[in-house]
Amino acid sequence: MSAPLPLEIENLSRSFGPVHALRDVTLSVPPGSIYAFLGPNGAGKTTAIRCILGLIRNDAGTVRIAGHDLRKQRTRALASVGAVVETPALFPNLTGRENLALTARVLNHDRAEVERVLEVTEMREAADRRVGQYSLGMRQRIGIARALLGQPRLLILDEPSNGLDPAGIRDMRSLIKALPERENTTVFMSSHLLSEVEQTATHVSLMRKGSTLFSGSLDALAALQPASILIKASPRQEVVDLLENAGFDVAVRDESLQLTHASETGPDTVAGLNRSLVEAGIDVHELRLSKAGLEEMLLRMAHDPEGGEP
Amino acid sequence: MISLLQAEAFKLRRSLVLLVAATPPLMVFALGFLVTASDNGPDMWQMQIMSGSAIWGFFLLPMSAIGLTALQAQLEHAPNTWSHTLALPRPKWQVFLAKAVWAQLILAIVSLLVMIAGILSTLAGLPFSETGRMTDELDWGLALSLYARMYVAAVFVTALQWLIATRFRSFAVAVSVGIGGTFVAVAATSSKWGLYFPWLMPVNILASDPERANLALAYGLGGGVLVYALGIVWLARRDWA
Repeated sequence: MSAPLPLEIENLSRSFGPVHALRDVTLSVPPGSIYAFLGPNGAGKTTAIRCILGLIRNDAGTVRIAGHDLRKQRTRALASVGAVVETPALFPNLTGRENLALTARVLNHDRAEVERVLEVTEMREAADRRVGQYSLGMRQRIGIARALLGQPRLLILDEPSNGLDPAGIRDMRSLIKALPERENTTVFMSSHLLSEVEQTATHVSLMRKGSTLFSGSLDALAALQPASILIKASPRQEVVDLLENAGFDVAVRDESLQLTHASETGPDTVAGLNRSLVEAGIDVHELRLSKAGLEEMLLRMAHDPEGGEP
Repeated sequence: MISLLQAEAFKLRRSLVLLVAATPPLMVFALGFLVTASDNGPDMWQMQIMSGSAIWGFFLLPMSAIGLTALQAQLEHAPNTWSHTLALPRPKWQVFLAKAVWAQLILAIVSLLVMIAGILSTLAGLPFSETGRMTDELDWGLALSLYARMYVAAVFVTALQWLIATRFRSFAVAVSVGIGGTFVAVAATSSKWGLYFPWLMPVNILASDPERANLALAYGLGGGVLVYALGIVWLARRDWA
C-alpha cells in the first residue's frame, strides 16, 4: 500500500454570507513536490490555507493531511504540518531563538531541533536578537525555521516572497527549492508572483474566484498550451502567403508574426519552416519556438476556464 | 497541557504584562508609605488591612483584571500570532485554557504582592510617623483571608474581561467594557442588586452581612468558572480568520 499523500483536498467549499470564497476546490499534492497555489488577490488562496490548517471551518468537502481527515483527526493531521500564514507572525518581545523554543516546547522537541532549523535557514547568527528588530526577510526565515521544527511532511507557506526585495526573493527561492530534498518535505505555497512560481514550483493549482481552473504539474499545464512559432522575416506579405498555404494560422504582432499549426508544433517544425522560407528566397531575421509563460497561460485560462482541466 | 502552560509563561518574557503586573503593588507601597509617614493612616492593623483591601477590591482589583487580561490577549492579537498558535497540533480548548489559567495566576500573584506591599508600606512608614507604632498586633491571617476571598470573588469579572479581550482584536473593546463596568459599580455600590454585578463582587467580601459576603464569593467563583467554561468552548469552535 502506498503512503498517503501529504495533502488531499476534495470539493472544499466555504461561503461568507453571499460570497463563495471557495467552490468545490479539489487537489492532490504529491510527496516531494513544490506545489504552488496561484491566483490573484481574493481568489481564495488564504481562505483555503486557513481551512487546511483548521483555523476556519469549511462548509463542505474534506481535507486530508498525511492521510488524516482534518475534521475527525485534527491534532494528528496538524502534527504533519508546519506553516507560515500570511506575514510570519512572531512574538516581537522574544528573540528568534526564543520564538522557536516556544513552539518547540509545545511540540515536545528539544533544543537540538531548534539549532538544526536555525542552521537550515541560516539564521543562527541573528537568533539572539529580538524579532522586533528583524527585517522582513529575516522574519520570513525565522517563520520558516519555526515551521520546519520536527521535519513536518507538509510545509505550508502563504506568500513567502511577499514584500521582499529582489535579493530577498532570490534567497527565499533558493531556500524553498532546497527544502524538499534537504528536509524530506513537501512544500505547498500560495503566491501571486508568477515568475517566482515558474522558477520554483513543480506543480501548480490555478485559482480564480474560489474555484480551481487547473491542478497538476507545470509540465501538464504547459502541454495544454499549444506552442507557437515567432518569426521575423521579409518581405512580410510573401511570408504570410507562404505560411498560410502551408497550413499555419498567422497572427501579426508588431514586427513579428506568430504562427500556430493545426498539428503539433515542435523543433522539427521550426527547422522545416526555416528551410522552406530560405528556399523561397525570404530573408529570415528571427525564428524561434515560443512556449506560453505561466502568466500568459493563467490569463488564457481565466478567459477560457473550460479548457483548463487536463 | 503542561507544555502549553510553559509556552504561555514563555510569551510573557519582556512583555508589558509583567510591567503592568508590577504597578499595583508599587502604587500601594508608595501610597501606604506616604499615608503612614504623614500620620494620615489608621493606628490599628485591622483598620489598615480593611481600608487597604477596600481600595483594592473596589477599584484596583477590577482595574488590574481589565489591564492584565487585555495585555495578555494583545500578546497574540498585536503580532497576529493566532494563526500560528491555533494551527499547532494541540486541541484549541487547551490553548485557551492555558491562557485562562495564566490570567488567573498573574492576578493571584498581583493580589498577594498588593497585600504584602500594603503591610510593608505601613511598616516602612511607621518610623517616620509621630506615634511610631500600631495599637494592635498585625493579623496576617485576616489579611490573607480577605485578599484571597476577594480574589475568588473576582474570578467572574476576570473571566468576563478575559473572554472579551481574547475575542476582540481591539484593545479598546475590553478596556471600554471594563471602565464602563467599574463606573457602573461606583453608582451601584449601595444597591441591593450590586451583589450580582461582577465588578462589585470583590468589594462585597467586606460586607458587614456575612451572608452577602458568602454570596459574593459563591457568585464570583461560580459565575467565573461558568464564563471560562462556556467562553473556552466558544473560542475553540469559532473561526479565526
